Amino acid sequence: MNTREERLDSTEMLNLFLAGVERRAFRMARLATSDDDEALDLVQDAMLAFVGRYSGKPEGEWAPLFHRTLQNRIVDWHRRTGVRNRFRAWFGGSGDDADDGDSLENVADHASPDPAASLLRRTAGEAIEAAVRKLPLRQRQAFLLRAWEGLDTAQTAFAMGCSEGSVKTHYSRAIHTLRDLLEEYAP
Amino acid sequence: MSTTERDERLAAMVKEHLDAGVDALDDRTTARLRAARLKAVESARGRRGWFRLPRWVAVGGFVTAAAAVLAVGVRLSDPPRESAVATADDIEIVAVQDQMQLYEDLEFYRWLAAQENGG
Repeated sequence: MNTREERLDSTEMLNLFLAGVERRAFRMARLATSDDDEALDLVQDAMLAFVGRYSGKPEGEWAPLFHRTLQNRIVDWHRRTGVRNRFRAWFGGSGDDADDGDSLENVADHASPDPAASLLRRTAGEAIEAAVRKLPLRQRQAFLLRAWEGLDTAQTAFAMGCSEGSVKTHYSRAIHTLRDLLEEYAP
Repeated sequence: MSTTERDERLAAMVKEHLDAGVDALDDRTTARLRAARLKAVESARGRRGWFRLPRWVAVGGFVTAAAAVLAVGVRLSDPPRESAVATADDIEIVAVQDQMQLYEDLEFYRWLAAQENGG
């Protein structure tokens, strides 16, 4: 009887933890993929893998373990997408889906002559969304995990699979880039 | 305002926007996320229901059981062999018998020498 109660408590705690992170996880995946379905698939895969591997770990370790699982899937998605786009480019395609209306927002707009001018045409929310999306993957990961999820440097390094020094570098560069892109809206 | 303070305010502004985006998720997306979560939690419930031991314990137990089965199988398949000396006790008995023979022979040689000397 006691075991049954412990099991129910444990799964309920797992449910509460995932309920607490699922929306932010979706937003992170959505920022990386710019596609709702892709983002949902990534989050679902991450949840299943996290439960399968780490649900027996202490509850205090769940957050970095879940984000490590999710970030690994986001990185894998980027690699797959990159390879697929290269193949399409070789075979004469554009490298992106023809019907993907959001494709321009998937990549950094390095050719834009004046990012500040384009930001002025948008609302602050849209500008922030675009700025975060323009960050290179590793910088975006470091920024979101540190500033949004509230993980410390060591936990972020664990989630990203890199050193703490790399996290500090990526985070610093992300802040610098955001400061430049959001100069008009900075408090 | 220092650079650090500016950076913190910038991060706070971005965080506020991201939080607002989370709150504004549509019902369809929210429902799909909930379904994915329940599926994951259900898989944990099923997994823990039939087996709660750590993986290394399960693997260790399986290896031990396999080794025991193998040992018993080898033991049973090995045909019984007759041996003149089966145990340590048997070796001791045989050794004692050899010593007794030696003592008997010594008595005989002693008697023979006495006969020769006397004759």
